Amino acid sequence: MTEYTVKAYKDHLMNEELVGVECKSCGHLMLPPRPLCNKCGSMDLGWRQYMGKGAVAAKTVITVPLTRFQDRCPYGVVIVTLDEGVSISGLLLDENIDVGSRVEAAYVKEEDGVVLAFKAA
Amino acid sequence: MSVLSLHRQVSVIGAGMTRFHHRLHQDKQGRELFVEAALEAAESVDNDFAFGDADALYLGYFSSDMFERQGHTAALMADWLGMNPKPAYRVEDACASSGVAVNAGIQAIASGMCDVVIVGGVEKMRTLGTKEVTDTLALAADANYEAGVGFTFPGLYAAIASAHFSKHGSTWEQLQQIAIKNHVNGKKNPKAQYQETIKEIADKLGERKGMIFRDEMEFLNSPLNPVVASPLKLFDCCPISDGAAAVILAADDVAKKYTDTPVRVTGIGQASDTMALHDRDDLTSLRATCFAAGQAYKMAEVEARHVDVACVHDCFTIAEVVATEDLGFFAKGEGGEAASEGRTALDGEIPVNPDGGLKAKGHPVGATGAGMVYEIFNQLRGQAGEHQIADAEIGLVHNVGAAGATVTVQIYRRG
Repeated sequence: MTEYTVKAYKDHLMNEELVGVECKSCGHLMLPPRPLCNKCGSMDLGWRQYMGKGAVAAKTVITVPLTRFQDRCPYGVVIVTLDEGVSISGLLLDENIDVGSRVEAAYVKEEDGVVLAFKAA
Repeated sequence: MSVLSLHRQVSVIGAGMTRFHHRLHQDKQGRELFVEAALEAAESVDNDFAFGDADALYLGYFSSDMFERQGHTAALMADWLGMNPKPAYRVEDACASSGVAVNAGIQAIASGMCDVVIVGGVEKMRTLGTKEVTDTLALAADANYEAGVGFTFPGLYAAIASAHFSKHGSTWEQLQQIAIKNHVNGKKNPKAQYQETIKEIADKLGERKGMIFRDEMEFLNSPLNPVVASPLKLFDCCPISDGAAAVILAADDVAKKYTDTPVRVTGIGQASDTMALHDRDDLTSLRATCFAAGQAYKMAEVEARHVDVACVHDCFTIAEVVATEDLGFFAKGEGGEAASEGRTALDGEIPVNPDGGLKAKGHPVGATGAGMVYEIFNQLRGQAGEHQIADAEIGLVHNVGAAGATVTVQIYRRG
């Protein structure tokens, strides 16, 4: 069985580590981890840690929230392209962030785990 | 890419749809809505058609589980239509559920397994309030990596809008022209949820609040149009709706028995893409639309410029902009401007969503793809009423699941 699970990803988030996998066959980088390379199909993968720094590729501020996030409302969500070239979604902690802004990962601890977030770099 | 083809030609011989609405159907369940649509479809067949004539049922229903606490809905509908023991298949591909059901039905006939099938979809959403509907729709996004960090379904399209504005210089003002146009069209459609122009809605709401709006834009910029997920406001979003649609498909050789004026399926396409929006290289385009459309155009041996009328998936205003670009009606980045210039209006060069689109017609998720086929069936038979496009011969249907992880495209031609 694969070790590259959602649970493993979430466990790393608890330690403020952003991890995915790197394909040893074709070099493709993936975040979050997956059991097989979605580019070449190889299962020869290895853990890859990301620095969590990057630029905002897309941004919204949500005013009609998910129930789970209603206490934060209104809240921002961003898609960030990390310096390593992969992209990931996260909660936005700072105002005055726009498409193109530099951000870095932050880890918001909640009762049932950690939510990946980004703040101004 | 290999050239795909249908080994047996397929036609639409009938189509029916309930009115899509947020209040009208409050005393009905999904089963009653689907039966209503199917009965209308059967009645629309020129010569006698009975549900028992069909060899199978393909039903799109996104979330009967959450909305009605009911699973196994395809068997339920087959039972309620009196189709037993004919096989029934439920399709769940988010907002593309019935687009996929239509494709599956076409393939069932093309394969020789069936001669006649009923395809369609239903969604009974108004059992839940806005908050619970927001949570339910977010199930169509990645639960861990999108909804898990706060993304709502409108939020994903808002992210697409922010990227489109940044890359192509498109504007929120351009998006408003999509909403204004689709309400103008919806006013002409007796099946639409909102049969009012945005100006009429502005006047009505303004009167209630003691406000006067000179035009649509003043209203759309007012507090009466609140932000849902910036930059998208309430009128950038399709409404929550109850409704159903059903379409009857037949092999060409069998269709003759039922009608002299079938609508032929000339091309179909379907594609998947990454579940998470953030895994796509270009956030301003839905790759699955480009792929599915390419497949459908090739099979139909037509190009985008040949399409006379199109129903595209405008769950949000930005979605129609992106769709008209990805389908090849306009160059990338020019969809917003094209809509502003009226090129997609009823009298434009390529009328888009003459039925009011998801925005004004409504979006009972699982019914939408089949509802679009209902519209194109009527357009190509010249029976679309007040929103008829003159001499429409080639029609396109484009149905998107969530933020583009599933897309279906079909091309139809007057028989």
